[in-house]
Amino acid sequence: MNIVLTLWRFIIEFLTVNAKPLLQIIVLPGLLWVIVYAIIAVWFERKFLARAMLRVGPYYCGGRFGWLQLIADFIKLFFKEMIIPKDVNTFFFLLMPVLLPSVPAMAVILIPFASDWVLWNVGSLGMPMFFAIAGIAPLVPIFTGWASNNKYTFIGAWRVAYMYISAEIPMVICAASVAIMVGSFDLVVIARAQEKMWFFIPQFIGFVIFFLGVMIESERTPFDMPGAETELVLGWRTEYSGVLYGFVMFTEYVMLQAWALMFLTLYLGGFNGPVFFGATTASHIFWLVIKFVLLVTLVILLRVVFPRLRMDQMLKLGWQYLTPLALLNLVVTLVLKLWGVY
Amino acid sequence: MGGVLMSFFKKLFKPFSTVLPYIFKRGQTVSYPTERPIFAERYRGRHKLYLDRCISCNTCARVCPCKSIELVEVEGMEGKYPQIDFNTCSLCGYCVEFCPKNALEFTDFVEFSEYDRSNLVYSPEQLTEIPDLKEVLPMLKRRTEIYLTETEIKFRKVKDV
Repeated sequence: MNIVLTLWRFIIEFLTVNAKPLLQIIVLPGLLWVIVYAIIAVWFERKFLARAMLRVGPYYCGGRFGWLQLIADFIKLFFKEMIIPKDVNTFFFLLMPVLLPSVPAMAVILIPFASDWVLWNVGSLGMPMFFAIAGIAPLVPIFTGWASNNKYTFIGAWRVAYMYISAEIPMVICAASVAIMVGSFDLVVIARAQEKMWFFIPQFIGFVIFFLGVMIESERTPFDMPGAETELVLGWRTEYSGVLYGFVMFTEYVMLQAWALMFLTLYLGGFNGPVFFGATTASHIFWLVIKFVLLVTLVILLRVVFPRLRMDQMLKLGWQYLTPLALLNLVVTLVLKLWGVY
Repeated sequence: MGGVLMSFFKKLFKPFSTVLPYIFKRGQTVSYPTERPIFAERYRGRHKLYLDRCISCNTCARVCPCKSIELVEVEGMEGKYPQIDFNTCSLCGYCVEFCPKNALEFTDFVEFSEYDRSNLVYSPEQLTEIPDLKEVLPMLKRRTEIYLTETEIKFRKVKDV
């Protein structure tokens, strides 16, 4: 009886002392945020894409809005057979769908949702940590494509490699320009320094480059060359079925979320916005979520409007246009910083 | 230089002016069976036969490219009348066009699917009548009318049934 009582008291004390981190881990920006966002984003994308193409989208499943459609799809995926071909590298084949959403999710938890609401507060190592994780991110699709032992997936893996490298270098340079302007790598400090003026005004070149980089790194159309459906079946994701397919599709939204949140923090003021009723934390979180929703809507709209770029067009964009512009941005920032404007 | 830049930006932003109005419209999807399109006047649906106009000249059977028409006896009337086999009929319109007495005509009735193939061979008596739309589609609520504007084809929901 005594043991039960001490155990109970221990649990209560654990929960009350660690209430805020637990809330962060489970709800926001942890498990529930990522999963609920992915679910709502799939529904929203299907409906929005359909409306822009003069169709209707999921209609019958869930009372004329179709919101139960994706729960039905998700449950259906559990009942499908997980086909593992004989000649694949089984270890990597089964490991990669677990790593695929986890690596971008590790990057999501670095982003400050309010001044005191950061799940993984690495202090002044925020930005290098994010880009370190972003450096690992291309490896996972490459391993996936190689492990599947299939011509299509292998070509998709190579395309992933080319595309990510060509996009990441300008993005890192632009992020470094922002860090030079602020004087710190800490993401909370960068977000708070945008209280007066968001950084897309002094750094408009970096703004455009990073936005293009967000779309390239999350493999959204018009940059979804590695997973081009008309050419490579599904690129490096071809051989997956059942729950593994669910993970692989889920990862597209997690990647978009990680990069979009970083883009918002660097250039669009992060969590800054008018405060309601003196509740700073809640209104900061609210403003970040609103900006994030608008950004995701814009990215989905860009999917409808533009056709897919060819591989050589995309590499030309990355190396011949974005990298020189990023270096120009860096030089201008350095010059202005040394002259004391910032 | 300025002209090239302006035309680049115009090319970049012009698709938005086409797509953005579509977001606020409902879409052109016809939610069959609650909605059904209003077909054109000359639409080629199932045939309708006028028994009193037919003179049993065999033109429709001779001209049919799918050999779906065969003239058969009808009780209570003299002569033979066309029986159309809708398994093979391609709704091409030759029989309607070449009938000298306009005994065959097209309607806009398209809901004649069957579970058994032998039910698709329509005798002359079956060809004379067309079922009412409300019996075949009891859940029908709206009709979709297609009309032309100067630049495009548009759809409009009309509430009469």
